[in-house]
Amino acid sequence: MKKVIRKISIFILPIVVLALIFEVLLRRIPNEYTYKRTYLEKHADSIQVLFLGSSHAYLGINPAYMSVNSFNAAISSQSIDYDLQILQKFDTRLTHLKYIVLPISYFSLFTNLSEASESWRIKYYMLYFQLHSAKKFTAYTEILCGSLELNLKRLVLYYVRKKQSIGCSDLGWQIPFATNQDVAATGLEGAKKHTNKNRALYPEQVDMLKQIISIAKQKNAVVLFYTPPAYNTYYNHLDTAQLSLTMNTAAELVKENSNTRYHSFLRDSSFTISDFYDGDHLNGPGAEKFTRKMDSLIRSIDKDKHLLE
Amino acid sequence: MLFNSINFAIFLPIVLALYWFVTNKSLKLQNTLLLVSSYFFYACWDYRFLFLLIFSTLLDYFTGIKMSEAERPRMKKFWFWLSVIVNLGFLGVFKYFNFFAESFSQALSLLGFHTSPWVLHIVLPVGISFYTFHGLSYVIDIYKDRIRPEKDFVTYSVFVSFFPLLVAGPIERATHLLPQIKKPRTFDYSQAVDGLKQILWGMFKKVVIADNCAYYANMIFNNATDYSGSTLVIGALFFTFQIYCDFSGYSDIALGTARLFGIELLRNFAYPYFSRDIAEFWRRWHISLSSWFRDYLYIPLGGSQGGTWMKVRNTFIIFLVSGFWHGANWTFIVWGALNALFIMPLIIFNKNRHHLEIVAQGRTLPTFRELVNMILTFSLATLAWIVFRAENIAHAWQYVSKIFSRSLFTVPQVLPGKIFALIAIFMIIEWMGREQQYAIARLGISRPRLVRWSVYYAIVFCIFYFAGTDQQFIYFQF
Repeated sequence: MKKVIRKISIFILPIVVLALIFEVLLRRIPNEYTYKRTYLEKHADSIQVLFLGSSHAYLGINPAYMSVNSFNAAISSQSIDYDLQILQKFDTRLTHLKYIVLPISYFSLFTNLSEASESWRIKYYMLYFQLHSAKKFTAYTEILCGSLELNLKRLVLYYVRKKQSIGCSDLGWQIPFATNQDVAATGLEGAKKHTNKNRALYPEQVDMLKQIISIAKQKNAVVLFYTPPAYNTYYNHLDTAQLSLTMNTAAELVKENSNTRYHSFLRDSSFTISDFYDGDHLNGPGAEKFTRKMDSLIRSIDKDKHLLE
Repeated sequence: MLFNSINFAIFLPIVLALYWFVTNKSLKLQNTLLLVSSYFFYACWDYRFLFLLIFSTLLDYFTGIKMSEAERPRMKKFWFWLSVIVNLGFLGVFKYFNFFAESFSQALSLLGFHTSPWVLHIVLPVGISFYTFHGLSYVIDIYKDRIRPEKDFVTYSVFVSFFPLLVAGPIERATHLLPQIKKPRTFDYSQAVDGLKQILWGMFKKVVIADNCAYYANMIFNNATDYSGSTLVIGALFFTFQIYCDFSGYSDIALGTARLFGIELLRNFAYPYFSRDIAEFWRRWHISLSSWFRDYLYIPLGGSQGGTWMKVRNTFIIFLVSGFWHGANWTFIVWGALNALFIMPLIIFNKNRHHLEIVAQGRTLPTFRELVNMILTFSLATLAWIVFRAENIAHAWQYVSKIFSRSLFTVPQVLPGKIFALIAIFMIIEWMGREQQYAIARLGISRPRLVRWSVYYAIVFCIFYFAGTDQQFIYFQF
């Protein structure tokens, strides 16, 4: 037995040493999560409009075009549970928060990050957003989440090719990718991908939206839900029942809570093919157009509320 | 707790350390440790089903004793049938109730009576098909006076619940496993090293081949209408490798893990994709289940003793039951029937036991005829796997119909070179090691340690490099 232990130890030692080196190197790569956390820690008290949500908001909202102090805390695949956790973490520091803007996309009520194919992203929230909510201890390591293939690529890009590792702007907006995709084809694919998600998650997701509304109430802030714009090949192929449930839920929440608003941009015809990166994500010009619309919408809501200084 | 998870990587060394360093002086203590750790392992899935496992264990333990104590044959029969009915009853409720309810409702609607089936909203307890068959084989063997009942409850419970085989087999026999549990076990260096190598190879099959194939197989099967016939062939091929590497990978890890505890489990796979006919394929695929059906169903039905008609009938029965064992879906039953049809010419012409030895034994390459036979058998198996993987019969029919369309002769829309290269390397290693119990058993055995370890490091590297999201083992759902 001792011989086996000795040999296994000798065999495993180089693997463990390499893994530790990789872990340290990977953690030293700057990323959007660390950036957004640091930004919120430093500037939370001056933010008046906070954007949360997944890639629809991350790519679609560029706070540089907002007329009030805003920050985009959305990140790809960020589900409502992480929106809530971010809000809870910075709750006491967000002293001037007046608007929480959150997308209710077609899939939002039927998915969460831990069940998604991108669940490996949970590590970013644990390690860099310091949320500490994951139960799996692997979520607190870089090397044990995702494949070595992916991690090696990140190491090579940052340390060898010296590529910029933070993909967002100063105010948290995803800087557009170099090339656009086939908008029509990806719209169809996206609609298919986002249909028939886990319906069992619905009550939990709605409950979390209610918690977000409750936090906003305590801060005398408004929650603005919206369904983001999409290209026609996306919205024409959505499941009517799933979409109706999503929109009716948003309408119900507005009816039940005086500090809540909802607006759907899904079929907004002012967005044309040139505004999209793919079937359900905006590109740079699209984000500018959308952010300006959002700014006007917030301004129009504020005419009644008078929350913004 | 998945074998390919960090939790298991922590759990196993702890249990092993306690087993060989703390409880090694007493067999009773060692077995108790195995039982407690097995129950802990099972409770990690869902602790509520642990009670079902314990109840099933208690039932078979007591009925076994009662059968041996019964003075009258009628009482013996009573205890035997009690165990069989309760065991199959549990299986029926948890696994097949909804299937029967829905099928009955569909049949009524064909007759013009529209009803909504009364279905149970329950989760299938993991491993129930495996431990139920474990228990049944024990009870049947006692009833047939092949074995004496085990009086020690801990020993018997370890036989049923030993964690490496608990959730997906191999389906053990009391005659093979119980004597090993009752005997004091001493640590054997070469057995342990062999076990570790088998675990490593099982991990490679699961993480590198099965999980990577699964990604493409799922994508193609789930969107079959969007793809050309040629792409659907690729999807079917990926599923063929996925299911083999997933299940045989699991079995390798189970066998390897058991070896670390000084226990040898039954072999479950013997290079089935190198078979020269379907009969040979079924002697090499999921061996512990095939032999279970042979011994407890085929032979009691008369086996091959009653002439050709009886052989045909019994073969159909065991394939249909075997298909149904996999799950409550018509796809599994049709899959079983399809395999029965494939094997039928061999049964009728009495050629089903032609290829008993591994192909090209003692040679490097197969003959042309052997190669053609292997390709044909592989193609038949792949065709049957399409039905197995499909969501329902309509999906399977649609999938197969589209394969045999003109789009079969177009360039596939999905052609991941990396996965093909991995499969090619894997098949070469399997071919080189086909005379061993698992492919890397003797890989580089005569070479210096540096070469051997380089091979192991390469496998470890591949496992970490290609590891994706945690994928369940396919056979856990059965």
